[in-house]
Amino acid sequence: MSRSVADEIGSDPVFVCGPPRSGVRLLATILDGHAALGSGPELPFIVTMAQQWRDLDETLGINHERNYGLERDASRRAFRKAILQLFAERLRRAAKGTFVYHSFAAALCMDTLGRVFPQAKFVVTMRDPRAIASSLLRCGWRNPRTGEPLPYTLNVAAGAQFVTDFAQAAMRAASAPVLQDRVMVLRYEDLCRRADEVLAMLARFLSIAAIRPMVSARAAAGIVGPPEAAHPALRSDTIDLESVARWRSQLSAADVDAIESIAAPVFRAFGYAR
Amino acid sequence: MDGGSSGPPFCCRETHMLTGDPIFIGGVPRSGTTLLRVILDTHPRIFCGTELRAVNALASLWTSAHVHSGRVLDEAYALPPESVCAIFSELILSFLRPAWDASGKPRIAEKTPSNVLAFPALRRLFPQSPLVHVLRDVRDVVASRLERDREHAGASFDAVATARLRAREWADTMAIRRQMLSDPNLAYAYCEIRYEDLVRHPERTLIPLFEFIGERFDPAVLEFHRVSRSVAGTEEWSAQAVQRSIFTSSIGRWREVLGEAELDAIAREARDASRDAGYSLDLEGR
Repeated sequence: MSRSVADEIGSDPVFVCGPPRSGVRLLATILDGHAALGSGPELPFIVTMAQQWRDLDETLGINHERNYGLERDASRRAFRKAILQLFAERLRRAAKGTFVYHSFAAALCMDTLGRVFPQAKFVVTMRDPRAIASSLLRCGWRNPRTGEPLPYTLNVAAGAQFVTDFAQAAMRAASAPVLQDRVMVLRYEDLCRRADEVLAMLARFLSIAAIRPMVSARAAAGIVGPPEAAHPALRSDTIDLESVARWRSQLSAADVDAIESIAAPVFRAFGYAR
Repeated sequence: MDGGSSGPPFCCRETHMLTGDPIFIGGVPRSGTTLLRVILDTHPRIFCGTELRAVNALASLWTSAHVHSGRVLDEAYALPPESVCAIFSELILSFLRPAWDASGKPRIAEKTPSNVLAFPALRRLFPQSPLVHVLRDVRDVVASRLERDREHAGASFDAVATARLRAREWADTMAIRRQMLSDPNLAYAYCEIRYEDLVRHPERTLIPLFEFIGERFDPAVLEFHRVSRSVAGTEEWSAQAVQRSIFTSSIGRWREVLGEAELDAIAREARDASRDAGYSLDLEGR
């Protein structure tokens, strides 16, 4: 496969990722309102594709190069092309140029995604662990195979541990040399309280025109899908400020103590006051 | 018939002249897939290189996309199933194309044992591709694999447990076989040949196979061992075995390798599947 064919398919995506309940979908919906950016419903297998490329490259890349004449970079370009083709028609119909891929799991393999897409940028959302743990308690998520509630939704301690493990794994992935200057961390609370300022920074990071601090209910419905599209943060045309401190009325003092103890590394790393 | 079939030497639902899409060969390891690979590769119009070992993984990605996100792709991404298939089949072809182009041959075949696990997906991704399943008596397969497994294991090697595991893997591929044969949409252009028939009656087995894949049988393919391949078989278990002409001495070798306990384990895992495939696990002649 020639380089020109593989590389002309389109520009690398913007990846929006972070722990569940940290504003990933909210930010993807805001970015979808930008003239240059288009997002869509989550496609979990995209992350699996990137991981599969990495596994094949690491285990068989040398054999493929020697026995099949497949250059190591050619397989990467083939995967890149396949993934971009999956977004292409939706982007074309929306007259947008760059896809915004949103996924929780992408946060954990940013290093691999960054190799598949050398020009891609990554926005990692983070939120006060107390707010995430409180939100997880109320989300009602279940294992689709067993029907059992997900373990990290059962109590605040499990939720806080989940957030801590997730954030630490994400930041390990983000520290890969290949991602230098390509990752921006965006706190949910800053997005809600200082939207203009934060989105201006984000626009500069993405090298695009100004991003309006608006949430389109129509875009939310097309990106997130029901029932999450009915979430208060995505329901109105403005960013919902109330969600920032809602945990204060939802958690007991003991809950807060437990979360602050377990998630102490997250509080420190992301500048949350205890 | 010792480890042989009671049916015809070659089995397929229909005969098609298929000339476009790749030929995929699969079967449980140690069933004769490498022998078939070098035979096909010796044909002047077919390139069949060493195992790519990627087709099953790549096809599984399509399965995941199709099963879990097919509706979203169709409705939200304006990608109907055939468009998604085209993207993933092109991804697989991109792995095959450099060597195919370099070979100068008009056809390509890809042989990796695990391809058989991807046959249902490959049927969707490559509707015109011949899918060739190589079958062999489970006892000889397990006996051959046990010898390999024993080489790599330490002193704690458990022959009975390993025999059971290998027989179960064989039975799993037979489940794919049943799936392929029972669905007309999958059975299209699926065929199977038996190792025992291939080595006992090479021409009688290969002539209809070549007809099935849309090529003329060339007796020169049986001279595969005289062809110099600079990289052939360097990563394949059977590299040595295909350096010589076809031999039949591997049929029934299980008698020298397997004990009663291993045979019992095999029978428990694979008796029904063996019967379905036309192999008897009777111990007569043991």
